[in-house]
Amino acid sequence: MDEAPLSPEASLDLIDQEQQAAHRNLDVDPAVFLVPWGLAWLVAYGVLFLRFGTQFHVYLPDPQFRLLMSALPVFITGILYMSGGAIWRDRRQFTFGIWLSLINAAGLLAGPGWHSLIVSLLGGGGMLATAALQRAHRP
Amino acid sequence: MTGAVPVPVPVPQLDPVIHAQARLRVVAALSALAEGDRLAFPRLQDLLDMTAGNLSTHLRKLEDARYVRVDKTHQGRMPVTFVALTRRGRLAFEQYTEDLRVLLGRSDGG
Repeated sequence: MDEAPLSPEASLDLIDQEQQAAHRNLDVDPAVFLVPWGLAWLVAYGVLFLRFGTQFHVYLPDPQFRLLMSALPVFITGILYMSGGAIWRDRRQFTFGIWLSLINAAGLLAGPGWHSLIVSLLGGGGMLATAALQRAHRP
Repeated sequence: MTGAVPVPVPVPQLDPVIHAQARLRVVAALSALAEGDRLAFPRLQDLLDMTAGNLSTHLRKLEDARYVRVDKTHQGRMPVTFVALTRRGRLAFEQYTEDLRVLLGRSDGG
């Protein structure tokens, strides 16, 4: 039931093709971790620059700065979960990262104070509710 | 004038376990993994575009030769099968490619 053996040239070509296909399919695209980290650094250090500026010139007023400082850890956590989910092909991790990023964006749009409430209820509360639901449905 | 007596170079025998097109594809794909890494059966099947039955048949032959290791385990309640090239399999594959090059070197040289 084996096919006819290949010539040495064809065998070497086949080896090359299969190894290239395997690398294309299995190797992790560096963009998967470079893009999230790049965004995180760009935003985080960008905010610090806006807050403290150069020569002590402040570009960002205090309430907005406090809002961004609250949003940054959530932003970074969301991005790390998304990139982890993409690297390890774990849908739950990826979905969790998307959820964190969405509530963070909603909080930013709502403004100072509201951000904390939204992250507290939909972030912390959401995690507790998910844990309770998963525990209830555990086999 | 006396010429140098040519020393006969032995013709390498290609490993019959690997030298079948389907098994060569399996071993070549697994050789792309880092040593010690393993691949889930469905991903290997997708990668090679082979039916599960066909892939299983060839894996059994490679397993009999101890060129691959097949681990059946569970992730939660789901049975999962992982496939990896063994050290012996990797060495056999390296020898096989070396033999191919020797054969080609000979035919290239005339």
